[in-house]
Amino acid sequence: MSELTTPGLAKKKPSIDLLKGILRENPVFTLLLGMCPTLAVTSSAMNGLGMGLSALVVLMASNVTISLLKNLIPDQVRIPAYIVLIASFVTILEMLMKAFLPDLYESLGIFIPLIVVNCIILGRAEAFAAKNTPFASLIDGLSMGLGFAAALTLLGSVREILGEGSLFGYKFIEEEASGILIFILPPGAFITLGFLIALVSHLQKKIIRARR
Amino acid sequence: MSKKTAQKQDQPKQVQAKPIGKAPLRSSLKNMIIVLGTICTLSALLLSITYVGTKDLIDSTEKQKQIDAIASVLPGANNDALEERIFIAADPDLIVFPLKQNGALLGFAVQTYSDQAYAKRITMIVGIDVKGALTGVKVLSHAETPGLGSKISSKGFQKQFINQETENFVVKVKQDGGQVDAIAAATISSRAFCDALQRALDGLKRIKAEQVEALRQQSEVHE
Repeated sequence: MSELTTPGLAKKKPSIDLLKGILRENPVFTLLLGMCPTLAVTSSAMNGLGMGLSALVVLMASNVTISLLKNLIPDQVRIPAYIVLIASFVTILEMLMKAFLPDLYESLGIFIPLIVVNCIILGRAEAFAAKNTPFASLIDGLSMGLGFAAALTLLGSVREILGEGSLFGYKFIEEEASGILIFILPPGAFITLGFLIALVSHLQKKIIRARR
Repeated sequence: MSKKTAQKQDQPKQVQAKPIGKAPLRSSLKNMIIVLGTICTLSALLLSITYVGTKDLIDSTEKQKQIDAIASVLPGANNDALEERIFIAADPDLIVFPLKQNGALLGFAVQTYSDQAYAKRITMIVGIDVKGALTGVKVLSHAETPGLGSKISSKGFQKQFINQETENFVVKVKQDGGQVDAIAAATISSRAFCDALQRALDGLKRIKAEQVEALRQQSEVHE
């Protein structure tokens, strides 16, 4: 859809558009970025939410910092500089999470370091933060992060409801009964994501038609 | 990285003194080294501050988790089990925690593992009272298939072990001639669970033998 035209659009009117990341340019359902964590961690709603919020924090921090430093970083070393900054934020987040939210850390485990290579974060740094003001970048990070978190939570909820018969750990079917197992296994991630993308794309078309 | 950054530690002022123009800094070698070096140094500084700041808390939450796990398999002890833990020389990953209530031995909690699981290593903690009966099992970590092998953590599977006399309990799944009902479609995980449990029992036996030996030697010295 509108994909990487964002920076251009934002320059015309520095739109503080909080909603763009949630539906119109949702990183998961529309831009199809960051598929690895999306598919891997969303076996439950809680995991999806935890991963989404962690990415949100890193995305906002990296967007603001990179926007502040954009004129100080020579062009040829910008990618290593961004990666060092992002990796630092992720490591700090990992340590804080280990200290204050040990349970969440346990279930997200190895996926936290992987935020470093999440292409949404570097993508937003390149496409938006490197060309816009810190405040606009903060809002962009918030918007994209919320979109990512919402998408992961939705995906996790659907998989948990179908696969385990529970939502956020609250079980609404019999304790010993199990759901449709495939939905919490890796193939379920692809199946659910496919249907959700179709649904979102349908909604977007509807909105566009309604506007005309 | 560290070598480079150490050399450039005194440079940040120079960078900030430059006027902040519209265009990014020119990509000359000097600029690139200075900027990247500064960013690395500052990041390293920030990381070390966070590390020092959270280290104690991380250690204490991990300790608390272990204490909670021990209490959940054999409640009622009030000694510092972590302090009094016994390592088994032949197997450093096997740890025995003696549990006492006001000085009297209640039993043992044994932290054990199995590498025969479907995915990664399973670690768990097993409670055994002085009479040799199993009081509880808690799986600390595993990476078994959700919904199948992950049921080793469920009460439904674990309840068949509670109150079993370890002396005459064959810790093997029924397919292997034991007494354990394996989880449907997760025999490998069930086997690994039994393997870990058996390792705990063996470890405890060895500790007891060692202690008896030590007591015997002590009494010989006294004589």
